[in-house]
Amino acid sequence: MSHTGSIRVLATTLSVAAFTLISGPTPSSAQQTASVTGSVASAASGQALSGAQVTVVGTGLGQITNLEGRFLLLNVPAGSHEVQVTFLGYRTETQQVDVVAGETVEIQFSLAISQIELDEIVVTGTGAPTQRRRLGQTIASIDTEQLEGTGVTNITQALQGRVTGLTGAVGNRATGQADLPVLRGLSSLTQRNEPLIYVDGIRMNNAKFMTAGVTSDQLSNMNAADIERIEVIKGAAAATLFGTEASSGVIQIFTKRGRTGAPSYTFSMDQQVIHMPQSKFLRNYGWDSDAGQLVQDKPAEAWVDLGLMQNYNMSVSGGSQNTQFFISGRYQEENGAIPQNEMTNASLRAAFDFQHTDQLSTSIDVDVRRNWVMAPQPAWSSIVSQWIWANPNRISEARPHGEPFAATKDLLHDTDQSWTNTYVISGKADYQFTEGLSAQIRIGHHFASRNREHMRPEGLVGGRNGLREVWADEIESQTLEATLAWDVDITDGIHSNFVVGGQRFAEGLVRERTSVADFPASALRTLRGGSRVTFVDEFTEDIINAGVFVQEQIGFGTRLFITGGLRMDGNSAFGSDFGLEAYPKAGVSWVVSEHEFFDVPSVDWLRLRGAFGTSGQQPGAFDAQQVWRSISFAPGAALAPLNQGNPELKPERSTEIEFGLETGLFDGRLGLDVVYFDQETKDALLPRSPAPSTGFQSSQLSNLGRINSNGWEVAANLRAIERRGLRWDLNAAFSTIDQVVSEMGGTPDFRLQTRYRWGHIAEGYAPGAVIAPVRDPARPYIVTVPIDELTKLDQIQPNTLKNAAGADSLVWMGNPQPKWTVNFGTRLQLGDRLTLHTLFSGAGGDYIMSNETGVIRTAGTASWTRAYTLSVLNNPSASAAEKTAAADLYGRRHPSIVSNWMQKADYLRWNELGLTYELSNNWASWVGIGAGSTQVSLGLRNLHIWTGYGQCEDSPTRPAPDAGVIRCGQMDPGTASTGWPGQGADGITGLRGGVFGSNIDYGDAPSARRYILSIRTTW
Amino acid sequence: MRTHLKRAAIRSGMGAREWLVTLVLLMLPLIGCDNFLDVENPANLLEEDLHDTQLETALSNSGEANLSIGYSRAVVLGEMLGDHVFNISNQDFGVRINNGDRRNANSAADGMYNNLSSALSVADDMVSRLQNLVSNPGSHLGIARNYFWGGAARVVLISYFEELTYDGGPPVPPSQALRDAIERFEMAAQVAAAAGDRNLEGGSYGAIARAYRGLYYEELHYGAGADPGLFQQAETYGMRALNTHADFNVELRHGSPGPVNQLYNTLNIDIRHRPTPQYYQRPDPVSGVPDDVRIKLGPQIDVGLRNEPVHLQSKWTGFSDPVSVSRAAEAELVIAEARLIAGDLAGAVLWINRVRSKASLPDFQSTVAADVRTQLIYERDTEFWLEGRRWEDHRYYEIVPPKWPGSQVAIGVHQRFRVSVTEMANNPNYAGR
Repeated sequence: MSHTGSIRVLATTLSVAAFTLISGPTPSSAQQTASVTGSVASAASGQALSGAQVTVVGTGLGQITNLEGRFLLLNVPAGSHEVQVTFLGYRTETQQVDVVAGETVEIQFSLAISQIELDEIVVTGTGAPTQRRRLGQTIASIDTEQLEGTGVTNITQALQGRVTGLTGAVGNRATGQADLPVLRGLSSLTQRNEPLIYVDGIRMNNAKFMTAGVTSDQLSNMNAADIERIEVIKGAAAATLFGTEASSGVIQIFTKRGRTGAPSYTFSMDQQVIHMPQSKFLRNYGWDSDAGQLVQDKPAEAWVDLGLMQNYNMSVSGGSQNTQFFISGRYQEENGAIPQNEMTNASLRAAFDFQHTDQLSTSIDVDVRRNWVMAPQPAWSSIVSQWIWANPNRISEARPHGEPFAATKDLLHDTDQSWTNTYVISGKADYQFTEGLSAQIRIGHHFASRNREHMRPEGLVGGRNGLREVWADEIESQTLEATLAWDVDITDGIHSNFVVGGQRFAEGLVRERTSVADFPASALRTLRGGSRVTFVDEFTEDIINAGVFVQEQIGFGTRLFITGGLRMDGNSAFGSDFGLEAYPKAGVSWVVSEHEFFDVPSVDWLRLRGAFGTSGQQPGAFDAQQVWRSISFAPGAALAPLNQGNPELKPERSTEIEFGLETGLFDGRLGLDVVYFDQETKDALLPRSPAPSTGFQSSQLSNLGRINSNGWEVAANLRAIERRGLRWDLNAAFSTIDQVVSEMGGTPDFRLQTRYRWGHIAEGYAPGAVIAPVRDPARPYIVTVPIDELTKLDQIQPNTLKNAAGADSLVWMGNPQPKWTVNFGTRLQLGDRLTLHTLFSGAGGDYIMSNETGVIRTAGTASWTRAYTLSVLNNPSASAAEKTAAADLYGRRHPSIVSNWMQKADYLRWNELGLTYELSNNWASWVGIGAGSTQVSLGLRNLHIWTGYGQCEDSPTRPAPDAGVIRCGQMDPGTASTGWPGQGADGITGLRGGVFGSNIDYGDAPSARRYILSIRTTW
Repeated sequence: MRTHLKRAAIRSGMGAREWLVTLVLLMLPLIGCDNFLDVENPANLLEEDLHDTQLETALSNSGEANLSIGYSRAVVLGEMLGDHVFNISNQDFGVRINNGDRRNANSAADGMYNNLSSALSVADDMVSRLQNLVSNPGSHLGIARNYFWGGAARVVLISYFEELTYDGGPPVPPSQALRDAIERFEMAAQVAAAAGDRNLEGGSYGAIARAYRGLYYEELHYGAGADPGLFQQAETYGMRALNTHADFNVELRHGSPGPVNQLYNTLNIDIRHRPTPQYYQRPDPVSGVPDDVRIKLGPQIDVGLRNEPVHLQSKWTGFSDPVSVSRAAEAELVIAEARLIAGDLAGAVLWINRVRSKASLPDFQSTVAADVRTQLIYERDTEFWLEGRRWEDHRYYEIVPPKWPGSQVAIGVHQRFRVSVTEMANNPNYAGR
């Protein structure tokens, strides 16, 4: 694709540019203008509201209120206008003003408290903005105001703790590590469980790129400072019109845009000190049989240091009535606390909006990003793994901590790094035929190229042979979408909103890899230095999804809205012969409180809603076809069977019903949102392995399964205090989810990972359940010799619970995904300038498998239990009672029984604590560039985690400094494994780990605490 | 309602121009709609693409290429299970195989079965495809080679596993698999002869000799008992092989970046396996001179589990080294064994010495059957050191590797690996097993 990809990028760029130029903005006719000024205050307290958004509807004019709550809008065309004020936590207010040329109009806004805003504008699958009150389904939104002073520098950090029911591995992981957000649990057993990402209506290919043990993606290197609003669409009922592939939900990102007026500049800077608490690292123990003593060591102490993140943003926005612009640049650099984990991000974004005529408006956006990541090797050979498996009884000059593979100083020679360049260009044209009839077309091209280099110089890493691997990957995606919306009053009380549209989304992928090995000398570090080519591969894949949709919404006044819609999709995975897949939807929203009969004390408003919808998930590009691959065979060309093919293959279909209740209570001070959802995924794709004797070994997908999910989501926002000089908000959310694989179509139970016992897909159990042999509770271990002859660990044998046939009983141990989540936080504003906020998030009901526990014991290194037991067994003066106790300690946690590694993953994390102070911009006026505002924030991220995970091997006899509880796992729950099972080439499919691997602790570092200083100034 | 809608439509102001623009806009996503869902797949071939005559060379090579993925790895496992190689790691699987555990060897033995079984299927499939593709199927070398590799896959599979299956079919016992292999080798020899490839023709006959020898021991240990006629067949084909090509050698080829010689990779690059120390400086029982030249050792690089010096091997010197699957020395030693079983000790000694002379070793002399047998076993042991015959001989001659613990000694040498879990779970003929 390298050539064709470039050509397509060029073609798209030229098309969009040509489109914009041909229909370029009409020079505005000389207009007479005036000014609108005024102030915004809270109706409850009378206090001026700083930071409220004031806009003149339909003109592009807008401003943020200053510290005194005042605004000044210049160049407002003479005539009648609607001026609208929106501010988080208050009801949106609109006033009609008549502006006379050359005059200044003064208006005052007094905003009522509203913790849930019914008239908030959100965007659905039709691409058209609409009021929240009209929707039957759930859309969660996060405004940029909620992120101020939080130190958030990427999108998924912004989601953490702010979206009810969001699980998956989110936030606080290794430097450069992307996150895996999951909405309402898993909708597929084998396919993508990650939401689709749309940026300003253009679909983004969020492909994963692995760099050693770190997986990055396109979402994670977007600049959070460019974000105006994020909308999260959960479940199939809401995502229907996004079509095939949307069954895991959609995250829509809306970026900042220019406003009419003089250029406004913003500069922001974040400095974060990254601190990895030593207390979270394991201490290693060994038994020195020569000296007859326990030895201990903590290798991490010598290598874990403070890290530093720097992030700088600069933006300018402004424009005339006909042309607005927003241009921003960013540079971010992070040196992680673990060696060899670094990242830089640089980006430039420009957004232009043009009002050509009263009917035609266009926009063009360009986003260019460059990301560099350096990451340590994953799993067994990683730096962190070497600390975990190091045996202090095997310390030598070459292995200063007794590392089994290589010393950390040697591993630093092993470098793995990636450079990713991203180019996004998109354009949009809106044509307003009449007041109620409009058409819109969007076109977008997203292209990213990634180059990765892994270099292990000859002989420098544990004496091993040299190795160089080079990857060149390209992804591209094209979005083409057209919609027609017809808004019309059918009668005085009945309103129709009709939308019809079509969308085509094409996605391309090229992966190239070359590896060489065996270098003559360590100084040689290019491909030509390797004496042997070990691997060469080039893979390309194109997928096209195209569909049409139609939606009709009938509104009865402002009380009742009934919506019906249908999307018809085709996908190249099934070819042209398959036809179109139909995804219907329906919804109803009833604002009960709009009726005159509604008169409930303290209830300001009440809305009931319900939605039904279907969405899909298609398999891989060639899963339906029998495919043979060419294999590298030095003597000549050869073929090997790859995929057996299944012509009956079709998309998975997720159907969801949800019911919701929203209400505002006590003069808007309390907002309550309760949702119940029930989702069923039919035709779930399950892998069925062919018999290897057929020649084919890769598993073949078949539509055999069914998954059922249901749960509750409850969110409450409370304005506890609102008085002059003091505002205190509290918010809390709780969600539950119950998931089960309800049918497997005769497919026997299987494991997504063959290693150990994780990732079971079994009928009647949650996806990815851990089902394993367990120790026999009546006799958890067997000592094979009389106790006074006990001298070796292998004389203590594990004893598992057996079934009637004498085989190991396989017992359900736990689920890999949380069954509940909780988020809560508070924001306290003191006076006009000082704001304190904090945020907590937690989850539970799931289990983590501490592979560290198992491996260090099995491999015979680093475990205190093992070392201590050996010390007793090898002590000639140990009594029978002491030997019995030691045997019991070891036997009850015998490493050969996988279930002994399982631990509850319940946790509560203190995510954020921040203090923001707003300064007046004396410096700006002093240098003569006008007034503005400056915010200074101090904060912490990931302050603390309360969890029982990682604390075990409790023994009162353990020596200092770890007397009592000792750590036996390093990963923090909710952050997921970065090492094993590797996230895979795409990092998200269940078969390769992804979300199913998020509960495996395998050589993982704990998550870091961050101390934050942020300064943001606007002038 | 209809009236209201009509009025609304009129109020919308939609004229012909607006409808036209709307229609064009809505059609835009379907640009190139004649193939708007078609995508190319230049990385792989579809089933229907395999009928292209351009693929003749690729199809000819495919049987060998697929077998080379798993063959040398299987040889390593066999040598670990026997006494040529030992494992120096604490890796579960390595320890189990090293200890002769054939029931809990988990995924590596399964993987070995899957690769070899798949390769068998590919080789058979390629014969059929080429027969339909080429105009000279009776003399096409690609067909001959795929016949040969299909036979070789059967022989090696049955050497390690208690049965095999064809194309998801019912289980086939070892003796039947060996007879099927003989058929494939016969066809390979016929077509190779027509194609003029004397080496492959001789190698095919040599492979038949090996298969008949295997059949003899299968019947001896697991069947109706000793059938000397089978060894007579082995001798006949051994002679035919040598008469066809006195120094025939059919090799399975390797080379980066494709499948590599796993014997070299595992024993010289990987840190977990080493040649067993009992083979270091092994004296020739005839001359008493240490270091039989056929045991090729590299430098000592570390110390083993019992503090003995541990060497690399130097028989395989690179990732691209081909591995012999059928060569003259094997036919010669099969003939020697046939003579021994027939009671012709002089004949047996003669054929043993033909092999020894090629290695510049002095002649062996004996008139005692037991000594000749011992010498024959020694010759096979050293001649085929690290070539994947040793585990077979352990079973045939009932030799227990000295490193095995008592539990495995009690089970004995005749147990083989089970068919892979994947085969049993997905082949309907294994339902209930």
